Amino acid sequence: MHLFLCKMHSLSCHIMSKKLKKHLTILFAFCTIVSCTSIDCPLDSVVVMTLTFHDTETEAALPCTLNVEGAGAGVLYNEGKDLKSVPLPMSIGALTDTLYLMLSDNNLNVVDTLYVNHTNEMHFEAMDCPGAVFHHITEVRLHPHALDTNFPVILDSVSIIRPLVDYNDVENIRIYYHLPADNSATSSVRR
Amino acid sequence: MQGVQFSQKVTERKPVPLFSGYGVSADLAGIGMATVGKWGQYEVSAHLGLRRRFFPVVELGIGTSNYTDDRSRLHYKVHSPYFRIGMDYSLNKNRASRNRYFVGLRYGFSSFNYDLDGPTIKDPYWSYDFDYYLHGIDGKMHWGELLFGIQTQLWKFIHCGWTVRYKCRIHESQGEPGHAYYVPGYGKNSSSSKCFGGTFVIVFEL
Repeated sequence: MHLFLCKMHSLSCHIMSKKLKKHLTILFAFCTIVSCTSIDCPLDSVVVMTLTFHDTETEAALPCTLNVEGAGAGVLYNEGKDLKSVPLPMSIGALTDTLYLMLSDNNLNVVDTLYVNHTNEMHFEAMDCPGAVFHHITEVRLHPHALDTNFPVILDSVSIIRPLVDYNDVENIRIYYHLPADNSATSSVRR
Repeated sequence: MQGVQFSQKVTERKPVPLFSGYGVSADLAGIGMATVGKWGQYEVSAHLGLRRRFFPVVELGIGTSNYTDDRSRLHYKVHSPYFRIGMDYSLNKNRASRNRYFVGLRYGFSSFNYDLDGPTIKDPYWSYDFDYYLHGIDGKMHWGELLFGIQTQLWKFIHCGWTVRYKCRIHESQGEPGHAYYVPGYGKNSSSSKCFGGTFVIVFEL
């Protein structure tokens, strides 16, 4: 048996010249170094828009409790305190989402309305991942609450930071606020 | 002069003609994949031999896929042409040999049109449904290939061989849903710009 294997080995060595061996070795090394990467479904496959709150003076968190309701959708975010960011779902059928930002502090409650215009785009990641819908935010508008209340926070303005809403949990919309003592309230629209 | 005479051995190398032959081939692996796999291609190619060292090649084919994933229920359908042009370089020392092993380069292009559809997506908050389907999505891709191959004579003018190909995407024009699942001639497409492929060919060498 050993003799047979030796003979086979010498025969194969004879057939496979040194040159060919060299080339096959290079090919094998090349194939080993350069390998394909196959995509899988992303670990975070939830499409959410991230809303952030920025104090115009400091970096403090929103000093009140926040609930968010969507017109026709019900509660989207419940009882958030000391918030800096809020993940919110977007509708996959409508082109404008109307979001009620319900702020409460002690016994005071106010409602600001945020309008988000967006597109709904079919997204394909891989065949073994479920289909998804991505969005592009085209315009945001903020309708703040009446200024004659004693509520401690006033939402100033809103701007689009990253229009694309996809699997990445990054800031999409930024809302600026201030405390009433800071300055007079203004409402603005940024595109 | 008597005694032993040594003849002077003269080895004359036959000059290799510039046009040293041509051949056509068909990819059997692609046909097999198209028949039983998720995708495949029907591909023919033609090559010209230049001094049995350089082999300019043209490859034409139709890539096809009609696949539904069991888990996601997504369905992908494409049936579009592609082409590649390039050159093989024979590594044989003996250029008279009918067998050869070679390296090669290719440039590939495909302009394709595909359908993608899946189950309707239901909105968990708003009462909307999103119909997940798009038909007639246009895509284009340019890519390059670096290959290694072996070809051997089976009988007279009939040869067979195989190639292993390292493919690198140069540019892709994506449709609305993003990158296509399968690109004719390139293979399975992904977020990575590189992949491997191969062929098993039957060659009629003249």
